[in-house]
Amino acid sequence: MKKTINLSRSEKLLLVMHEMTKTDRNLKFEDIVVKAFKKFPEDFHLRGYQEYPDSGDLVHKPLYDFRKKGFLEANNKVFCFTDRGLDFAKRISEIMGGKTIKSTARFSRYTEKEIDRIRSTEGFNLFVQGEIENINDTDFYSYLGATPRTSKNDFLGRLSTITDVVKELKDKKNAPSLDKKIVDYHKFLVEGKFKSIINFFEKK
Amino acid sequence: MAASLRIIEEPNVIDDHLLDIIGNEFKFDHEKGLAEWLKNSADAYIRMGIPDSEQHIVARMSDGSKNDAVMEIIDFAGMSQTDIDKAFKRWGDPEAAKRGLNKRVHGGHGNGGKFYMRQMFTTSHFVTYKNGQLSIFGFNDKRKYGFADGFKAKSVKPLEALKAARIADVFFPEKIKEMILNEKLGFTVVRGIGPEWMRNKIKFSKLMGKFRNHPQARRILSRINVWVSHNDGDYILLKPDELKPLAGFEIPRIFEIPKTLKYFEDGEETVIPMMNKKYSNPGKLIVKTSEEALARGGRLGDLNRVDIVGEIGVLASYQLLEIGVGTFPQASFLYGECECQILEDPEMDSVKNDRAKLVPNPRSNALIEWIRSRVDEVASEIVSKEKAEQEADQKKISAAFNDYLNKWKDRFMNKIMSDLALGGGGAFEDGDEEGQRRKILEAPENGLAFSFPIAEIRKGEEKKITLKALVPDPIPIGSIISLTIENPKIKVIDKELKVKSDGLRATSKGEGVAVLNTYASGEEIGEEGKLVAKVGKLKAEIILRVVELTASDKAKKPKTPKVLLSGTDLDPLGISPGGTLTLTERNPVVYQRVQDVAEGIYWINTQSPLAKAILARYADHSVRWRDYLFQRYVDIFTKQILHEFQKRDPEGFKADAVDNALDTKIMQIHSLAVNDLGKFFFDEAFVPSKSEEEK
Repeated sequence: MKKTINLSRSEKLLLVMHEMTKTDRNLKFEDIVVKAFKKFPEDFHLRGYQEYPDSGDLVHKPLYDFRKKGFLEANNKVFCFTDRGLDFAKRISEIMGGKTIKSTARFSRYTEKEIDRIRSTEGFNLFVQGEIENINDTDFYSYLGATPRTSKNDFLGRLSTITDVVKELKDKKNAPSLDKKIVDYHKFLVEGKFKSIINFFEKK
Repeated sequence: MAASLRIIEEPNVIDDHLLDIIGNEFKFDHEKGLAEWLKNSADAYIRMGIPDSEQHIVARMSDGSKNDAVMEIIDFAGMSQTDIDKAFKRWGDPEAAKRGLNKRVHGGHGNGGKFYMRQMFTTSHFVTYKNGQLSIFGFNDKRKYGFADGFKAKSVKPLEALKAARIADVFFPEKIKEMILNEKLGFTVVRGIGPEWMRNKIKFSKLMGKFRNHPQARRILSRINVWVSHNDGDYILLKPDELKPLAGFEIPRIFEIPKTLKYFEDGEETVIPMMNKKYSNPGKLIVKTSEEALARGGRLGDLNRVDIVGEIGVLASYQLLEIGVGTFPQASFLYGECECQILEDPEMDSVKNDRAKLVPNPRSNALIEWIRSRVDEVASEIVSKEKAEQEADQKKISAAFNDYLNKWKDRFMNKIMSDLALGGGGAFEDGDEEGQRRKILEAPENGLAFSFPIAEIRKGEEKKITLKALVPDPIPIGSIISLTIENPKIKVIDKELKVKSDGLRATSKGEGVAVLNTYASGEEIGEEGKLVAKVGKLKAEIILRVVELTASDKAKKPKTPKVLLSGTDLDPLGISPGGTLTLTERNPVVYQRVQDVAEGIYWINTQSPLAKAILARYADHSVRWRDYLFQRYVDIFTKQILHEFQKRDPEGFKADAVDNALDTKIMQIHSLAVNDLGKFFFDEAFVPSKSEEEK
C-alpha cells in the first residue's frame, strides 16, 4: 500500500514548477498559476469558483517567499529555480515518486557548487592569507554572488542560501580545514565588515 | 741659552706691496665697494647716536669724458683729524670702526672702504668736515695716501666747506643743511675718480640694481635713507627689492640652530658646539620665499642666497647653488639669512676680512652643511606643493573630459535604452509623460503624426518626442523623414529619422506603424517652436514649449546615469569620508555602492591598475586617457543594457540574444562617438569648452 504524503501548498507549488522546469527554465507567473490549478485544483482555485484558478496571493505569496529563501529568482513575473531551489524541489519530487532520500556524507550539489565558487574568490584568498584589510565591498558581493544592483529579495535570497551553505559546512564533520575557513570568512563579512550593506538591503 | 733670550719688540716694517697683495684679495666690484662706503657712513651715524630715520646718505655719480667719471658717497656725520689718524690711516685694525666706543657697528677690520678707494679708482679721496675743520685725505695715482696739500684740519666756515667739497647744491634735507651751517653736524664726501671698468660711463642702473640687493648693503638700505642721483638728475630713494612671498609659503620658515652640529670630514664625525659661555644663543636660520624666481643671471639672481649675519651686519653670503642646495628649480624661489654670532668668536674666528665668505673651519663648514640641508627641506616642501597642484590640475582636466562625456552620453542614452525595449518586444509606450501615456497603439490618420499636438519640455532636460508613420503605405520602409524646428533655441537631436523595420508595430486592426523617437531640449523657459516632420507630401507638426522644472521633477530619479571619477569628483551623496570616493586597484573599473544604484551614479575607478598606468605615463590630458574614459562609458552602457534587457525581457535574456543586442548597441554608440567626439579622440590639444559641450 502506497504511503500518503502530506504536502503543504507551497511544496505542491514547487513540485509543479519542478515539472515545468523540465521543458523551460524560465517560468511565467501565468503558466505557474494554470499548471498549479490543473494539477492541484483543490488547492489553487479561486475562492468560491472551483472551476477557475486563483492568480492572487495564493500563488504569489509562496513564490516570493521562495525567492527570499533563495530558491527562486524572479524578473518581471518570470521565475526560475536557483541551484538551491532546484535541489530542494528535486528532493520533494523524489519523495513523491517513492524514492527514499538518504542522508549522505556528501554535500548537496548546490552546496558543493557554492563552496567551490567561494573558494575561488579573490576575497577568500585574501582572508586565508590574513590580508583582511584589503577585503572590500566588491569581495562581499562576489562572496554572495550578487551586485549592488541586485534586487532586495534576490539579495536576501542569496544571503539565505549562503548562510545555509555555511551552516551545512559548519555542521559537517571532517570537512577540509580550508573549507572550514569559509565559516570564519562568512562571519567576518556578514556579521562584521559589511553588516551595513545587509541592513541597507533589508530596509530597501 | 735660547730660552734666556729676550726679544726687544719693534714696530713692523711693511712694504706697501703688501697692501697690493691684500687689496687684490678683495676682488672688488663696485656694488661691493659702495656697500663698504655705505657701511662706513652708517657706522659714523651709529657712533654719533643718530636714529635711523634721521640718517641720510647720498650716492652721487657723474659720467666723465677723460677717464674722470666720479662716484661719491656723502654722509652728514663727518670725521675729525683724530678719526683719520687713529682709524682711517691704520690698516687692519679690527676695532677701527668702533673708534673705541662700545657700540655695535657694521665695519669690521676697517679695510673694505679704504681698499676700495685704493684699488678701484685712478685717484680717490674723501673730504670731511667736522667741528669747523676741513680735511681732504686720499690716494694718488700711485696708490699712496695722505692729506691734500693745505687741507689737513683746515679751519673753514661751513658754507665754504660745503663749496670746497662741491656739495653745496646737493639735495639733502633742509634741517640737516641748517645743522651743518650751524656747525652741529659735519659731513664726509668719499669720492672716487676714474672707476675701474667704467672710467667715463657709469653703468648706473645696473650698478644700483646690484647695489640695492648686495648682502652688505641690503639691510642698511632697508633701514636708513639713501638717495641716489646720476649726472645731476633726480634724487631717488634707494630701497632693496621687496620680494613678495610665494603663495602658500608666506610665513618665513625659522629653524633654530642646534646647540651642536655634526660635521663629517674624511669619514670622521666631529661634534661642533654652536654656543659657549660668551655666545649663549646658537642663533637661527630664516628661510623666505619669493614669488618671482631668483634665477641665476636674472635681475634678482643675486638674492638667491643665504646671508650669514653676526652681531651687526652680514659676515658672509652664499649663493644656494654654491653651498650644494640641490632642489632646483624650486630652491631658486628661496633666500634667507642665518643669525649666528658665535662665528665672530675670536677663539675660532670665522669672519674673513672682506666679509664675502666665512673662513673655512669645522664650525663654518658644519653650519653651511646644516643650512644646505634646511634649505633643501623647504625646497622639497615647494616640490610637494607643486606636485599636489599639478595633480589637482590634472584632476580638473580629467573632470572636464568626464563632464564632456557625461553630457554627450545624456543626449542619446535614453534613445538607446528605449530602442532596446522596442527591439526586445516590450510594450509600446506612446510618449513618456505622465498623463499622456497611451498603451494602445493607434495608426496616424493621415499616415504621419506626432503622438501629441503639444509637448512641454522641462528646462535643461531632454524630452522624448514620438513620431508615428503608417507603413508600408503611404510611407515605405527605408523612407527618410526630415525634422525641422523654427525656433533655434529649441534643439532637436535628429534632423532626419529613417523608417526601419525594427521599429515596426501593429495596431489592433493590423495596420503597420513605425514608431520613431527623437529628443528635444531647451534652456530658456517660455521658448516655443513648431517641430515639423516631412516625408514626401506628408507632414506632421508638434508644438514644443520649454517649461520650468518643478520640484517633483527634480525629486525624480535621474534619467541617465551620472558618471563620476573616483578621487576627483565630490560624492553627491556625501557619504564618502573626505568628500570624494576613494577606490583601490581592487575595486572594479566601474564601480557602484548600494546607495549609488538608486541615484544612477557610476564611479570610474581612477586607481584601477590600467587607469593608474595610463595616468602615470600619459597624464590626464592625453588621448590615451580620454580613450580609457570612453571605454568605461561603453562599460556602463553595457551594464545598463544588460540590466534593462533582463528587466524587460527576462525570457529572451539568453547569451545569443544578449550578444546580439550588445553588438547592435555598441556599434550605435561607436558611430555616435565618431560623429560627435572627433576632437576628443584625435586632437591632442583638445580642451572641452562650454560651447563644445553644448554642441
